[in-house]
Amino acid sequence: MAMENIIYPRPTEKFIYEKRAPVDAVCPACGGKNVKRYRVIMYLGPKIRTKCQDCLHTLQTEEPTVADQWPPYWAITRSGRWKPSRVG
Amino acid sequence: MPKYKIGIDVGGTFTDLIAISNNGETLTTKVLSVKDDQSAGIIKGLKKLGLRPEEVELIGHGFTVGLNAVLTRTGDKVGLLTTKGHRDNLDFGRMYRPWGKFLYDPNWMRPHVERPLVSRKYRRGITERILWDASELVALDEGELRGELDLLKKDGVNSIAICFLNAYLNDAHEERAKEIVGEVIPDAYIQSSRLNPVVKEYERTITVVLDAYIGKIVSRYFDLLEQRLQDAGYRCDIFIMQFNGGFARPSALRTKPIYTLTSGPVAGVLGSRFLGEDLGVNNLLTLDMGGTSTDLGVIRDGVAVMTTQMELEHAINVNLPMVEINTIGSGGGSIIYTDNVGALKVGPESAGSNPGPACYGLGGTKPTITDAHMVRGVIYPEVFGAGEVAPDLDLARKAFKQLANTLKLKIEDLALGSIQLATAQMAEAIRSISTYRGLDPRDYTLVAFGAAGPMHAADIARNLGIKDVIIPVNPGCFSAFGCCVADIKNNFVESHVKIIDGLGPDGINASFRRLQETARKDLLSQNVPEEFQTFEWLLYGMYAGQTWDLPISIPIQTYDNEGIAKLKEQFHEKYFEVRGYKAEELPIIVTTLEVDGYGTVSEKHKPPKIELGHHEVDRVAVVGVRKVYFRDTGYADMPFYDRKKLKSGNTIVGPAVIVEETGTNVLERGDHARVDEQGNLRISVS
Amino acid sequence: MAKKTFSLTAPEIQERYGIDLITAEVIRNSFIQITRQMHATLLRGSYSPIIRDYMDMAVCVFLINQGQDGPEYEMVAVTEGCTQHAFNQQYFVNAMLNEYGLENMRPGDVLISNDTFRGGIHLSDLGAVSVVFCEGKPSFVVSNVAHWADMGGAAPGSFLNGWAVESYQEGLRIPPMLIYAEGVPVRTAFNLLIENTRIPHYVLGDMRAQCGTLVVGTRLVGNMVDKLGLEVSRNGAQYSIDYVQRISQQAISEFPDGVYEAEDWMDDDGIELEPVKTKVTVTIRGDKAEIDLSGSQRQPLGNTTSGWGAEATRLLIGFKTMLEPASPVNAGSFKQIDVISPSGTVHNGLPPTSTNFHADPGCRAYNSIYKALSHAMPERGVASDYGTCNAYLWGGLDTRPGRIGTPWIYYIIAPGGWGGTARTDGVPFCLVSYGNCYDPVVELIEQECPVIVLDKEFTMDSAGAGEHRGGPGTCVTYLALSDTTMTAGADRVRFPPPGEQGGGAAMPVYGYFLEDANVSFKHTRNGITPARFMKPLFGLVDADGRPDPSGGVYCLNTLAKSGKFSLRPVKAGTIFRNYCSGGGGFGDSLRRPVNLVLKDVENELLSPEFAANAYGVVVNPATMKVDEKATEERRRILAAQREQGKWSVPVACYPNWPK
Repeated sequence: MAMENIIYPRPTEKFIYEKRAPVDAVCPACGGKNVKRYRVIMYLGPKIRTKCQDCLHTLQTEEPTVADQWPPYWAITRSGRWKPSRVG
Repeated sequence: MPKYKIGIDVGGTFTDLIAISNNGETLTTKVLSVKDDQSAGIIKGLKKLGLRPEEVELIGHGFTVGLNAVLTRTGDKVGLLTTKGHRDNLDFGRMYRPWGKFLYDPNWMRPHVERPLVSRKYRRGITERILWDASELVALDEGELRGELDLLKKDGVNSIAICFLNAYLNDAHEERAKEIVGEVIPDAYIQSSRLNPVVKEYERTITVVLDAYIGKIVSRYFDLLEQRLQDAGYRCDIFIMQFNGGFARPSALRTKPIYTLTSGPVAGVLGSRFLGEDLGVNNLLTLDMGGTSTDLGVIRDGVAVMTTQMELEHAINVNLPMVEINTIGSGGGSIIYTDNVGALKVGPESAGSNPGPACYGLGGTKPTITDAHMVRGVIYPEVFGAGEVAPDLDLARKAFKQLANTLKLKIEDLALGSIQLATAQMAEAIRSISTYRGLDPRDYTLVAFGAAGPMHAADIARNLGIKDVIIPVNPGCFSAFGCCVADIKNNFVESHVKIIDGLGPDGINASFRRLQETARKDLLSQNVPEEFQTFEWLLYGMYAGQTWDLPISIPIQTYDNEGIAKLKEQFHEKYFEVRGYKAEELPIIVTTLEVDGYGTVSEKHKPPKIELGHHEVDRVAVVGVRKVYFRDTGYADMPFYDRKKLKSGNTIVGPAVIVEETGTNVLERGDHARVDEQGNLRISVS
Repeated sequence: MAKKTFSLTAPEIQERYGIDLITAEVIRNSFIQITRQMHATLLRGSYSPIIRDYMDMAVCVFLINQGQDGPEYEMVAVTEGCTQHAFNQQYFVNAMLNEYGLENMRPGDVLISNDTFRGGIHLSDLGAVSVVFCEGKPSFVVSNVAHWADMGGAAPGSFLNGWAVESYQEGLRIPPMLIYAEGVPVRTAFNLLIENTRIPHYVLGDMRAQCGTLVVGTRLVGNMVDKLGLEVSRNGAQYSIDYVQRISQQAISEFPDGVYEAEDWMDDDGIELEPVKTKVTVTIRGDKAEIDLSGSQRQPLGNTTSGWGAEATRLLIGFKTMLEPASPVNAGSFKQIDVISPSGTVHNGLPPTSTNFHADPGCRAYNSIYKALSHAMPERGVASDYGTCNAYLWGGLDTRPGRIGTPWIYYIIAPGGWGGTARTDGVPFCLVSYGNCYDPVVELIEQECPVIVLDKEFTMDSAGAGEHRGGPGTCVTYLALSDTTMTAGADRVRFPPPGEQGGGAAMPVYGYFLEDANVSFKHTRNGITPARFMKPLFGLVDADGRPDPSGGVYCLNTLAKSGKFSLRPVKAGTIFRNYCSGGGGFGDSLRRPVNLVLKDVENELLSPEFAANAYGVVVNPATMKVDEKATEERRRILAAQREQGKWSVPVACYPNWPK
């Protein structure tokens, strides 16, 4: 079992920016075409959201995967990855 | 010749008087309070009562001169002497922000900073220092002290509070400072840590300052009161109600007027205790609901529950042993409104007595709880308000109109719903002094009084699962009644903050000997002979490492090592009862030892019996049948009874309203009211 | 633009929730009351002063909804001690249960964790969670979190140790695990806690209190469901959450749409000694908002780094403070705001970096929100507060007679003032906005610890000047009676708390050692002590060691190189003097009403010199009266000079500090 998302080196860049990936979609709330997909912290925690950048309407909310490294730390034993034992 | 005890409760709007005689007669009356001259109202009230001075055995009296002065910041000009480097603790408070709507508010300001009792200019640090072991680090700089006092005197400061660090261990510097104050400002009122010689510098300082703030004002009040009573021919004993739940003579209170700060609500709790004792009910929750606020108290095993901290405003606390009263801003005049997203709310803003509820027709336009009851139909305008107000239904309905339109709700449903919300709020406030402390309200009986208490009592009880409610006779002047039936009480403390074994038998015995002697002498000075004196001893303790202590009532005896071992056991048991665990491996620190002295001042009052009747109510007691609103049936007929015409043994089954001059008693479907021998209403809640 | 309303009428509530508006409000208040009772239970049963006096805890009730990707947990009500715990629980409970799996929780199970990387605040804060089963189905969650006095690690208190660069050195990191299984204590978990922390009997007592609180909460929620039915209870819970969301929508829509940026700086991390930047961009569109931390600096080496959940919490607290402080907190407070937090910044540290001293980055986070939103709506503006943890940990063994050998710890946390606002001066002596505690009692500290508190007063001229000035800073002095070590955590030493909308900066933080106790009694007045009696430990000082925030040099010839250091030996007899910063000023100081400036001069919070320098008010010190003409003239001159770029409001500090 690979040990991803457990230990990270300190970033080398001095200032860090979150990337927002453009998405080809039209916002159903305002009709705008400036839609992007990016990592957020919303009320349920770290998720990936596709949002209109003009009116901030959310088109979609997705669960992150291991590859998203979001949140940075992922327990390798988390629910869905390892089966629970009798004691947790 | 029958002799009367007179109880007088001065409130914001009305001064209530009640006279009870030793042969079963009761007289009550009400006059409008005279705002800045409370004793004038008292004389008016005594005249209206119509008794001759020779008929009066004693006058028991609660007033709010001191409290008003504090709340309106119209007290004396106080100078505070503190240890150098520590003169800002009044502005620091205990650092925390209040819970509720101000917790996140950057515009919130600590009350003492916004409206100081003592501004920084008059808070002077004096070179002196006592240490944790009572030793002196730095001697008192008397020259510097005189200089500071000169400056204070120049500015007209005439009341001095002295509170040095660790003075609870060693107050030699404070005592010397007092002497010097007496030389420099001879007519100054002086108060020092001796008022409250316990650990915790902030709590001690604010208590001493509050006392100094009202020292001269209360003294002047006593002067005027005593003069006026004398002029009117009264030669009887005059007692003042204190917040510790007992009387004191004015002479004893001139040196500690802070004890008069919240007499009114305490009197209500005392009256309830008397009632409970008389009826054989030991566990009571007391509810005193007025126009603006509601005061709540607890009587457990026949004893009023005490506390050592009462908050007047955030961080402005009195820290002395007192009857615990929880006050919430819910009353008959509480305003009903919606917030900025349309949720319905009741209070704490109140229409008070000016402009008052809309239905009073005095200019109020906002809907209040009283208006809600009016719309519902339970108010009987002909009797309500003893002729002082004439409530108008149209005005009440008009006040609700806009809100009802916005919410798209019928006016009647809105009125009923508001009452329900108010009830839920009061039930919650009761929970905060009972359930949250580990007491189960279902084991208690609710006693309700005050102008609006009886209207809500049954519903509040229902909300809490309480089965029995008592509405006493004359519920509107029940606090005044409480002022008739008290004993003299004093309390004296010494603070040690030592591990109990370290304090040992010698320390404990010496301390109690001193305290007992002080209490005894004080009772004598208040004309209580030895045979009428009783005492109670208390020990406050905490586990090492904690900062909050717990009192236990301990046997009055000389202590040896075995006795101390028993005290430790008693403490652990009490801790377990209150906190749910005990830590026998940890040392117990004795923070404070206290002696309470009691002196009986008159023969115990015997409540008179009313006329005996039958199970069924006489027809003459029914004043009418009117339409009252219920959620499920709409307006339906409800009988109205005149309480004055009820006899003992009568039972009334709800829904029904029992009207009287000083209150409206509401019974819902299934509530069962029985009139007992003295005329109290005993309600079994459905 | 049409003004949208977020109010609901009675019929609308009935339709949406199937209950009438009164029942909805009663249920909303009932959930709050359940948390009040849980809170009272926790206070009653707790062992350590940290929970009771420092109130570093919160208790909550959550509703479980079924989302598209699995169960979702929405906070319905909370009773908080510290504000940061109220917010953080929303993130942390979701993270704990998502990882552990709701399907693995049974009635009577208590799940605990303290992990920053799973969204918590720091290792000292232990969260406990229980699921409430109704009609056999998981329906609600009850939780609490409390700060533990010690969680193991290299330094007692597990809190400040600046030499810890990795979480391994900080303390015990507890992943979500059961401490109670179906009501039975899990022996192995208890042993782990008891054996790896320094105050095991506190651990046992406080853990039991926390779990006992959850038992009470479970019972109370169960009682409500028994009385009202499960569907009505759930609908009422949803109404409660939506109610707060509507308040949030209303508040955000009142702010003008736009993009608002702000930046702020932390002095250093105590190891690399270079400033660390915080950048915040707030975007408001209608009733929604985004807060983006992009542009913030990477995580430093030292432990002054926050986890993602901790910092999102502080950003939301800053937001709530500015927009709608009065409403209750629950999941509805979060739904309109997304936080964008790039991994690896000082506000979202990557494992295994140490995150225990998250307090100062936290202050930068919410102070940046104040800045950004004050630009958006100056009439609701708030200036930065004293903005640092300003904590000093002393500890060792007592040497006083009768107490020889007794271990002691004293957390010295002396707060300063909050910033002035558009409406009022800043409140003094108030802990940072994400905390809330009782101040320790000096007389009890002096009993328990070999320490004498010589000073604890306002410092003259420490409040940031402005039309509304900040709260003044605090001067505190401690004398050690026994040998001890000092671990310090102070920021705002190098960068004074800034003013807002033209307001002046406040006096920054300083540390000094004094010669002897007489210095406090004889040579200190309103916190001002001549420099010859003080040895500078850290601060912006001049060549004589005097505080000089305008022209001084950061830690010039001082005994420490920063306000953050660990385990410095302190011999008995040492006297430590700390000046805590004041709050920043708001608005133009030349417009502050003259009578208010005079009042501060009379009260010795302002010197006549600083009144003239910063406020343009000329007071005759002999008569204590304002020279009105001279004041008018001076204010006119200063305003003109400011126009020409020749004058700006000075940083607060006593002018011509005595040598």
